[in-house]
Amino acid sequence: MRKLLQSQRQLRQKRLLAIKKGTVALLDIGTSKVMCLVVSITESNQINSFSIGKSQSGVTFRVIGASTTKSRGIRNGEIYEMREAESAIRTVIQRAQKMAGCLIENVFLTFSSGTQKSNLISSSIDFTQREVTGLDIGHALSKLNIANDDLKTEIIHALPVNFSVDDKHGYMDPRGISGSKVAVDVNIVSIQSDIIKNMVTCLNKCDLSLAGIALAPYVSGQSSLLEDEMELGVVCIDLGAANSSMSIFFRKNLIFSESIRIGGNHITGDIMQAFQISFLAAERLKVLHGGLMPTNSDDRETIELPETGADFYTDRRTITKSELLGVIRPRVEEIFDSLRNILDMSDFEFLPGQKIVLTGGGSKLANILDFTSMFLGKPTRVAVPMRIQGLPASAHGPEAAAVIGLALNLAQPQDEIWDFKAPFEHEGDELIRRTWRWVKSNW
Amino acid sequence: MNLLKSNDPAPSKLFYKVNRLFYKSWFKLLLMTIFLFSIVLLSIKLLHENINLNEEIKLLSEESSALYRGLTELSINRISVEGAKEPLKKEITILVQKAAAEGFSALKAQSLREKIQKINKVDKAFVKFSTDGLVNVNVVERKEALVFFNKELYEVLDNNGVILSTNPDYEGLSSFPLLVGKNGSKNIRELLLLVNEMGSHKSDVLYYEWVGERRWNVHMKDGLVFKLPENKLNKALELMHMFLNETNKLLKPIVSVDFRNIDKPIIKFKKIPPLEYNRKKTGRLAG
Repeated sequence: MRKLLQSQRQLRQKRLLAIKKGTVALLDIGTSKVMCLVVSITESNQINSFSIGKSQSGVTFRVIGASTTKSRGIRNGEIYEMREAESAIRTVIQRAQKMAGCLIENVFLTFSSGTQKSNLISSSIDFTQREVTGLDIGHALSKLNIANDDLKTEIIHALPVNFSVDDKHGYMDPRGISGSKVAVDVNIVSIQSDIIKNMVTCLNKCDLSLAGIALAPYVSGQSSLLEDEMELGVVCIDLGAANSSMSIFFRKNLIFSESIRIGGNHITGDIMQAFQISFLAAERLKVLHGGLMPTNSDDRETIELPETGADFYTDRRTITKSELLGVIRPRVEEIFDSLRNILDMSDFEFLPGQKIVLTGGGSKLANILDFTSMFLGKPTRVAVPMRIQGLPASAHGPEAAAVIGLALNLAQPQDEIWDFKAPFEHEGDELIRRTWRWVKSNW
Repeated sequence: MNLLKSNDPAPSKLFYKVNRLFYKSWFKLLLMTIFLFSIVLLSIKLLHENINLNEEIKLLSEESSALYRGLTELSINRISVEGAKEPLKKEITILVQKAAAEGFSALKAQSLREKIQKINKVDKAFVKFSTDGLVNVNVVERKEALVFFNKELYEVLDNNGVILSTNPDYEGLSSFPLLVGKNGSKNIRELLLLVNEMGSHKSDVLYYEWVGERRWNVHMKDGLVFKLPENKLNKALELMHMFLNETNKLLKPIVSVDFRNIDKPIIKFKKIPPLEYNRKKTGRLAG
């Protein structure tokens, strides 16, 4: 626990220093694309000094650089070929640097992983009747049974999602409330530690320093969901290239997150296999002619298959749209079937809000809205991430939801357990640390 | 999204690192410092050695212009004359040297060529300059074709009637056909054809006479004269050849053959005076 807090606080410190420098880069490493936004903190005087247990006031920012490149060396959200991944990151960073006209040193990273696990755990402490203080919350948090000692998983997010005082639930900030017992529910989101290590190594090879990390399902939700939706309860489904992830928000907190290792690339792979065409041709077919809902004219609508190296007059092949739909739909059904199973496990049905929001590149598939609402039996909408200042129009689509969400998370981060002071952290020790931090940041 | 390109070239690691270096403020500062330091060093050197910049610049500019001249302006190292025999060759060499003395930059190949072509003996001339100072003159010399006796002088002409030289006597020119007659030089082409037609009898001809500016007389060394017509010259020449081939068989000496009326040639024999006349004459001389 102490180790976790220390490592995460170091990361928080890096984040603060990066923000103070005025320019940070936000990097989304996906299976199909690597995207980078460079944001300039325009009103840095709004940043408060780092304070444990206090929500930091927001900063305003402006996008000054953006670049995207095709992903290389990354499969299922994990680095498979270090050199290739490194070259892809170098490409986006150099371009974004050129556009922004400044050096990128600190990077905030987001990615989606099929290995992510979400675990809701709780702990409580009893004390004599008095007002709850920050230290009491820290005390309750320190009693959490976080199984992080096996070194195989790394905790990315540990979000306190609910506070209870004397068995009364739903407190957002219990400080100052009188009671004799305080309980806290924490959503622990973790992934395999190797994935993170590889990512950090790759960034270091590109002379970049990791200043913060957030998982794509969480930040995608932050950029795509409306405040009311988050308050009532909503499922955000991020349909990526290799992973489809689901995040459930309630009372503006991420209460559940899970992902499956099936995505848009699998649909493309199926088309490629069914019609024996190249991956790029299959992707083109999916984007231009793909769909999910059959119509009466599908049998009559023919699509010419792009053949490479074939004779134009003799080797032309055509398929009907219904044949294409027949390939796409089962795979999408498989994805949503898996998501429905997860949804059933997550007790989402007990939340007051029952809305489903689709985002990510896969949400651009035709008729996916009708299909989802029909298949999952819940009201659905396809979200476009909210606009942020200076964002180029070309980067404003559902596929950029994660990176835009990361920018929003940077501006208004949510409290995590390491933002609260634990009882084993002494005041004197903290004073020295703060002095050292001040010296380090100013010299 | 349009930003996604499948063939994005990734920057090499070195290029990426160098590129990042230029964004770093300490590197910019270092470059600036080096620049300022070099400026300061230069200023100190100028002040310390008390160098007059104006003079230095003037000197530099003179040096550079001299260097430019040296690089761009050529000097004549060698004159090569081809296609000309010795007296003409020397004449052309002197001409080129004179022209070069006016300055090589003023010397133009075209003007030099025109000057050379003004020499009577030169038919055509080609002039070429090369960067190593060689002036190459290629000449087509006029050939001596005949001698025209005009106003007590022997003029050597080429086949175009251009006077190549003038001699007071005929000595040394006997290999060329001799032409006499007023304005004979204006009809040289016809004469040359006539000379050519003479064939093996060419050497037997003493001279060709242009008579009355309209027709030819051929005077043979043995005193025989062929009077050729104005027209039907070919037929006259045929008859003349026949005559010349058979002339040895003739018993009486012939003075002239007149082809002016080609259908009716007139042969004039040499008159032999009667013996009485000879005696009378001898007696009168004897007194």
